[in-house]
Amino acid sequence: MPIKYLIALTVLVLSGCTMVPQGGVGANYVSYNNLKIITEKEAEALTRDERSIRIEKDMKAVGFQTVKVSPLVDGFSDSVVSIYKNQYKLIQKYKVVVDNHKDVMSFIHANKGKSSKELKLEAERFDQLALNESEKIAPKLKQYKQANDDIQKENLKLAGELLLHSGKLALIFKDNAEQMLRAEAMLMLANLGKVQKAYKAAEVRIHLAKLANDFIDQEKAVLDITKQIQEILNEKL
Amino acid sequence: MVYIRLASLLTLTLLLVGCGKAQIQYADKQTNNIAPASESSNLSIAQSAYAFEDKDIEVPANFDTQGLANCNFSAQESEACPLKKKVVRIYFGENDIVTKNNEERAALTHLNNERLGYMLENQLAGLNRFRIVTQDKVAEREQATQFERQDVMNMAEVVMDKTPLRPDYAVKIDTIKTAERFYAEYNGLARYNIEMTASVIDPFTREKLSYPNLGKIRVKGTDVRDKEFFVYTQVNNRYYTGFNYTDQDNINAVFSGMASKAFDVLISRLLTEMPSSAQVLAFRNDQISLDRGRNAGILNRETMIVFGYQDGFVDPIAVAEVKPSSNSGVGKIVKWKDTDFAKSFRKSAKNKVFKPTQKVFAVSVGLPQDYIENRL
Repeated sequence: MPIKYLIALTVLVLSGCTMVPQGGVGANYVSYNNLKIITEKEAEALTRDERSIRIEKDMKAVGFQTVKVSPLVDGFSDSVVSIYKNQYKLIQKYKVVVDNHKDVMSFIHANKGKSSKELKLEAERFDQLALNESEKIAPKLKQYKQANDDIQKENLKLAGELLLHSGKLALIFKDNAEQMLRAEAMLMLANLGKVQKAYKAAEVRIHLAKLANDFIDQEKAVLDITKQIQEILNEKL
Repeated sequence: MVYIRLASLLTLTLLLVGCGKAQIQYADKQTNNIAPASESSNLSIAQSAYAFEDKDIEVPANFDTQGLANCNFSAQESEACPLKKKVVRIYFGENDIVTKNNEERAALTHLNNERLGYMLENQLAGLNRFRIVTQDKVAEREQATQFERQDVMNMAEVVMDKTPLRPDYAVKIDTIKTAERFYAEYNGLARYNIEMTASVIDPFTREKLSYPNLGKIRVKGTDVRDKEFFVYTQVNNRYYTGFNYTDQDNINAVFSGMASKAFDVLISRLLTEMPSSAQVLAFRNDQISLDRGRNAGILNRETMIVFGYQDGFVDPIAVAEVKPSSNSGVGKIVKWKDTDFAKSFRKSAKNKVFKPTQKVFAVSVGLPQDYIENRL
C-alpha cells in the first residue's frame, strides 16, 4: 500500500526537522497560534514528572480538530492526528507503567505460581500491613494492569485508524488517479489559506508527538535497563 | 652524480647492517602491572603427603632451623630459641562500617566483637604458635569461685606461684564491614563484605612488627551462604520476601559466619608464615622420629618436608606425614626425593635405626587437610 508509506515518509521527513524556537531572540518556545509550545531542548531539561505533564498540557492546548481541505490533505492530516492522539493517550500510561514496574514485578515474581485469586488474597494481606496508602500494592497492581491494557488498546486503535486513512486514500486514487489529482489541485488552490493552516497544525502536532514519543522511548528504555540489571543480578553477581 | 649518491647510500646501509653485532638493549622486565584484585581470599591448605610428586619435595619458605639447639621447651624458654612462643593479647578493633542502609548499620553496630575475639583466641591457642593471654572474663569468675570455695592457705600459695602472663605483643584485628543492597527488576541482592587485617604490635616501642605478615583477608557474604540466600524482594520500599535484611539476627549470623571464615583464612596464612619445625632424631625404614610434637605446634597428620641442613644450605630428603604427641613426634615417609643424597639416607635406614650425623630437620608446609576436616 504505497499511500501508507507516503504518510509514513511525510511524518518522517517532518519529524526530521526539529521546530526552531520562534517569537524573537532568546525565546524558548515554539509558537502556534497564540500558544507557546515547549521546544525539544526545553522538554529534555525538565524532570520526568514536569516533562510528561507539560507535553500533555501542550498537546491538549493544540487540540485534535482538523481543518478540512481536500481528500489528500485531509488524509494526511487525519493520519497525523491519529498518531498525535495515540501519543497523547500513551504518555501518562507509560509513566504509570514505569512508576509501578519494580513493585508490581517484585510482587508478582515473589508470588509466582499462585492463581489470580490467591494473588488477590495475598495483595489484601499485604495491604493490611501497610501504614499508609502509598505502601499498598493492590492500587498499583490495578493501575499497572489498566495502563498496560490501555497501551495495547490505543496501539491497536492507531493501527486500525492508519489502515483506514490509507484505505481511503487508496480508494480515491484507485480508478481515476489523474482526474482526482486535478480535482485535488483545484481544491487546494481554492483553499490556499486552509492548506497553510492544515500544514501548520500538522507540523506542530508532529513536533509534539515526537516529544511525547521521545519521552515514551526513554520510559521504555528504563524498563529495558531494569530488565538487563536483573539479568546481571541473576547471572553475574 | 645520482649513481654515486646511491652507491654511497648502499655502502652505508651495508656497513650499518654489518655492524649489527651491537645488540638491541631491551629494558629489563621484572614486574607485571595488573589491576588490584578484590576477589575473596582463599584458604591455603597443605597438600597431602600422598599427593606430592618428586618436584614438590622442596623446603618451604619461612623455616627456622638456626638455633634450634638452644630450645629447651620448658615454661621458661630460652630467648635464643627461634621457636620461643611470644605471649600475645588479642584485640578486636572497632566496628568500621560502610553502608547506606539503616537496617544493616543497626545490626553491624551491635555485632558482638568480644565474642569474635574469643573465637580467635580459641582457634589460635590450639595452633601453638603464640601463647595467648585471654581477655575472657571467665578467668576472673573462676578465680572468684575458687577463692570462695577453696582453702585460703592453698589459694594463697597458688597466687604466689602464678602471675598472669605478660604479653610481649598485642595482636590487633582490624575489620571493615561493608553492606550494600542492589535492587534489579523484580528482586534484589544484599552484598556483604569483610576486609580483615591483623597486626602484631610491641606495646612499649609502639612498633608494628613485620612478621607474621598475614596480608589482607577478604570474605564475601556469598562465601558463607549461597547467593540465593541473599536474594530478597521489596514492594513499595517495604521488605516483602527472601533474605530479611530488617532482621538484625539475620545480618549478625551472616557477618559472624564471615568473620569466622576470615579467621580460618588467617590461620591458614599464619601456618605458612610460621611453619612448625622439628629435628629428625632417627630414621628406620620409612619412619622418622622427631624431637618435638604439639609443643612445637605440629598438628595431626601434618605434611612435613624432611631435609638435611648444613651451613645455610638445605637438601630435601623426603616428604612425610607426621603425628605429634605432646613432646615428640613420629612421621611416616611417604615419598623419598629422587636424589643421591636422599638415597643414602634411605639405604642407611634400611631395617635399622639410623641416627644421622648431620643435622636433619622437618618443616611443615601449611594447614593440614585433617585440620580443615576436623577442626574448622
